[in-house]
Amino acid sequence: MKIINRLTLRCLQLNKRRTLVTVIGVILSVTMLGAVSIGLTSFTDLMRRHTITSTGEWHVRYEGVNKKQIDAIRQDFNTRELLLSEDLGFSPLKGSQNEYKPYLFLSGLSQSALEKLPIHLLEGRLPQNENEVVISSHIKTNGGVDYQVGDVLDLHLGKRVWTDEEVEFGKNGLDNTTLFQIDEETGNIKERLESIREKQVTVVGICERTGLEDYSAPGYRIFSLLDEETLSGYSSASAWVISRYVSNGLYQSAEELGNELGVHEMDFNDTLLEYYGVTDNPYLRTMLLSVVTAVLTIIVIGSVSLIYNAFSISVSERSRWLGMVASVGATRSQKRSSVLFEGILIGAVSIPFGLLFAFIGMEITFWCISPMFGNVFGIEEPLQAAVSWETVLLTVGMTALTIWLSTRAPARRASRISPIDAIRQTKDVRIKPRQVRTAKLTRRLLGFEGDLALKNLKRNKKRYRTTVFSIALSVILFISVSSLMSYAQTSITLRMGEYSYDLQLNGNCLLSDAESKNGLLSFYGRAAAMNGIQESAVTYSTSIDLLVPAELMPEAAVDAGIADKSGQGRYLVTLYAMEDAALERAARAAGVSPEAFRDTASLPVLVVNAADGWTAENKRYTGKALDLRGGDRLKVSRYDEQGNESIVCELTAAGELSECPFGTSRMREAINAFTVITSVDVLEALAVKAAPDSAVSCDMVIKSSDPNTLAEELQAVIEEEELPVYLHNAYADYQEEQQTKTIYAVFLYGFVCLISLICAANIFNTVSTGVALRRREVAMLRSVGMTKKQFHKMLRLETLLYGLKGMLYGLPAAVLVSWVLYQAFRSGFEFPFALPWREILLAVIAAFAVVGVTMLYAGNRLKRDGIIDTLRQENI
Amino acid sequence: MEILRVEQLSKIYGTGENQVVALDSVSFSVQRGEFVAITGPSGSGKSTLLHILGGVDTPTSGRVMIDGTDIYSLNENNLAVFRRRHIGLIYQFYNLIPVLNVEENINLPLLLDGRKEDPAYFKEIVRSLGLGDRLKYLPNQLSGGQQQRVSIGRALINRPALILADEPTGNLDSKNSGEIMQLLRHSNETYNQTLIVITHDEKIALQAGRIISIEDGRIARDEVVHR
Repeated sequence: MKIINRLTLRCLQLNKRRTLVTVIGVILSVTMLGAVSIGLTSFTDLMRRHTITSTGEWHVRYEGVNKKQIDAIRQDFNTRELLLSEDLGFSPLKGSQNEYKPYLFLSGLSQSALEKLPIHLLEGRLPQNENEVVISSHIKTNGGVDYQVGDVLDLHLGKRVWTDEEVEFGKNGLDNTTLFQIDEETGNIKERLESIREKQVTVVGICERTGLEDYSAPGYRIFSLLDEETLSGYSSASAWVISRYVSNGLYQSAEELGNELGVHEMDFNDTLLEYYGVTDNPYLRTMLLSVVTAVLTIIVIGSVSLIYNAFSISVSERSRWLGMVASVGATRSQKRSSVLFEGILIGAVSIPFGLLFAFIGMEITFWCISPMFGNVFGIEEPLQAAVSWETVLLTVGMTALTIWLSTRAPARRASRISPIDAIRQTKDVRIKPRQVRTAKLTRRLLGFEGDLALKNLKRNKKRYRTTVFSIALSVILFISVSSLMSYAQTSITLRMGEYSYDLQLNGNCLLSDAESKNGLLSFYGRAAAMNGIQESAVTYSTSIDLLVPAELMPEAAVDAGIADKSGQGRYLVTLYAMEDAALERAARAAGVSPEAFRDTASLPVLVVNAADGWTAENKRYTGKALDLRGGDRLKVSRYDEQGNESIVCELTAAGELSECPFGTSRMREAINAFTVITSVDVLEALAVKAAPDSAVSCDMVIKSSDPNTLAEELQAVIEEEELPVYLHNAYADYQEEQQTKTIYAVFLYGFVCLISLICAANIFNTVSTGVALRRREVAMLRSVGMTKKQFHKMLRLETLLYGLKGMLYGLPAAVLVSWVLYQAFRSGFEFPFALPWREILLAVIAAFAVVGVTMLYAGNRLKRDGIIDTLRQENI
Repeated sequence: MEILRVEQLSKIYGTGENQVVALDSVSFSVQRGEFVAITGPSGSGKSTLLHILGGVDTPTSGRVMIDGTDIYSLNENNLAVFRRRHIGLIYQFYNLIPVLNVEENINLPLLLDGRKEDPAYFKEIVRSLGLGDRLKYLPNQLSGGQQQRVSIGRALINRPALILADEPTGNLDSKNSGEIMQLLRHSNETYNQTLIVITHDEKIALQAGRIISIEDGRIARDEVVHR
């Protein structure tokens, strides 16, 4: 080893503590870079697996190939594996319930194709010869034909032919893409099958519906094993290629091969190729690249500003021996290489650990969020940490870049250190009187120790700035992310707060149609008796228009211009009819006798008297919808089919409620909208007068102890009985929102924690070095009589001042960022601006703690020194 | 009147074979207002002696009584306070605080003690040190001689009974040396302060009233200078 490198190594060994902190800092940034690239690789890997599950594992498909062409494709250098398929013909599917899917479509697949194409067995096994088939479960669920494993099918294979022109369809009549031809008007079928041959096959397995056919395809695919020797010669075979090298040249090289062989019909598995970063869409590639580049750049900039500092300190500590080696003839480049060598050493130690931690970290993170992730994004495949050599290369490359950028300036400074600098022992930073000037007030407020503390901070601007920047950065990031999470939670709560229920069953019926109404009610009755129901309510609801006189409107509504020239305003009203027990509760809450709602002549209603929205002056209004005086009459308006408006009847406001009872809701963000509640009798009476034949929603809302299980059970009943009911699982929505939030929280907080750790390492490095460099001064202060207490007071005040300065920049910036985030979130929902006080407190305490602990540590090291030893040592 | 009494003072570094005896049972006493020069070859233990007298190093055994106080019976805190009130220490390498200006460096013991300066006395010191126009300068803007004068100012500001100087002129040219010694003698004579100076310089030693020679950690000679 060169002497200069040996010296560097020894210097690092001597300063074990500082070297360790630098190594930790670099490890942290490698971990972050590694986490990003492993994250990227893992998500890509997940999406590849997900795509392979639905489209199969292949990259290019050549269609309509013959034996000779197949052999040529197999010989191509870029073909890693070749899958073969041949379409053998359509056969009528007897008893198909889907009039657009009247066929079975038989394809033969080679052994490898059966394995690599997306055929996922539900029962049975894959075919082992050409007379065995695997069929899709779709035939039963969509076509309504129930074949079992073991059934023998007589296939009358044929090709599709237009009846009017006697011309076969594309692909020699084996086109399974063109819709089944039925004349929309007459209902006549415009195609037939022309027989090819008869074939008897046995069903040996049932698979999930494959992604290989369109939903509109006329034939349900079934698959047998293809014997390559018996290719029918119809040129209806396809060659599916798994490429050896998946790169951007794939599209071109595949097309060139196709042209060369005379195969002109080919297809690419675009979705899968996209996840290899291969796409013929340059825009998409640019976007992908720029997002990744942006994230990596942020991390590199953050890391550089921090690691740079570590090397700077190292160089200024080493300046004396650098000067000495310069005096015996070390050249500039030798001095510079000393710093670069340090960078290489530190990188060599840190990178493996960083990569390891990144992998372990991502593995744990994915393990935790994988179930949620699958649920939120609808992906069944587990999320696993994946590492490719590109990942490692990218991380190592970025780290090398980070270290190189960090060492550049210190290395240049090292190269300029001259022998005379070392002999004179001049510090690399000279202090000017202005720089350490403090206000008189400082001494009065904080005492002499405080004044000295402030001067100590000010003496080295760079160190001071780095520390303050690190504190501020961590505080800003932590508080911003906390705000983001808190606003996200508020908006989720607000949005979901509209649902006072877990599940809602949505049905429509005509009040006059007793059969459909009773059908729904009987289902709701059964639902109400199911396990886990805590509360339920059945409501009928409809929308009506009311004309409200201006004197009943609150000022805000008048201001908003709701009333027209005639002194009336149109209100959009949701009318709920509730069953007796629920209505009785609501009536009692409003102080009205439930008996009142038997009077169908005056059409009594309870008004949920609440509205919110914006006035004309763009002022927020939250308050009453109407200024009711008791017993007010509300006109119901209706447009007839000619578009003429008339008053059909009047409702009586029998009482008012301030909140919606369970099962009802009100419209938000509209001053001229409210909700009224009444009895089923009144609704029926109203319907007769207002809209005799219009449908109403008949809904049931449920609160349950186990909403998801109940939802599954209800859904099963709905599907089995083919009920015209839609199930809305509000609880699952809520859960999904929460999980989405958690996933973001994991990544955001993970990022913030790592950045904060780097900042902490940086603060530790800077502050402790700052104190250590003052050893001699401290010894001097002690020799002229500074007591231990005074020394500690000075350090405490330095901590306090660092912290305060960090907060001075950090807190306002954090509040500002929070405000911006708040503005983004409140566009959907109105909620007051609030700051996450608990997290702010935590951030402040943590920042002071990091600086404080460092000071304590550095101070304690100094205290152990003897005064004279220190003074003497530094003099020699 | 006795200001300083040293009894059986020993300082031993290391143990076993590596043991070095820096001071070997040294005893002597000094009267108030005396000017004592301590001489001796390098490594004889004279600096160690001075540091122990100044309360910044600890003896292995023996006692140091200053003005009736056994300073090593004080705890660390009280010793620090004792130092800033009763002892003025001057080092060869000045050891000023780089972030404090001349005025603050001189007043350091007072500032640490939380006391106000006596403006008349401060003015007098500054005038006699010739630093009147340098009060707002930082140490790194001063020459070596000026820095040493600041450190003398710092040692004098408390009117200590005992001033200890460790080769105060070792780093200075002969003109500056002369001036510094004159300053020290002046305060010794004017304020009746006791002055103990370590020196290699015979001319300086001969200015003292008494010369103590140390060799191998023992007092080899203790003689009064007859003028």
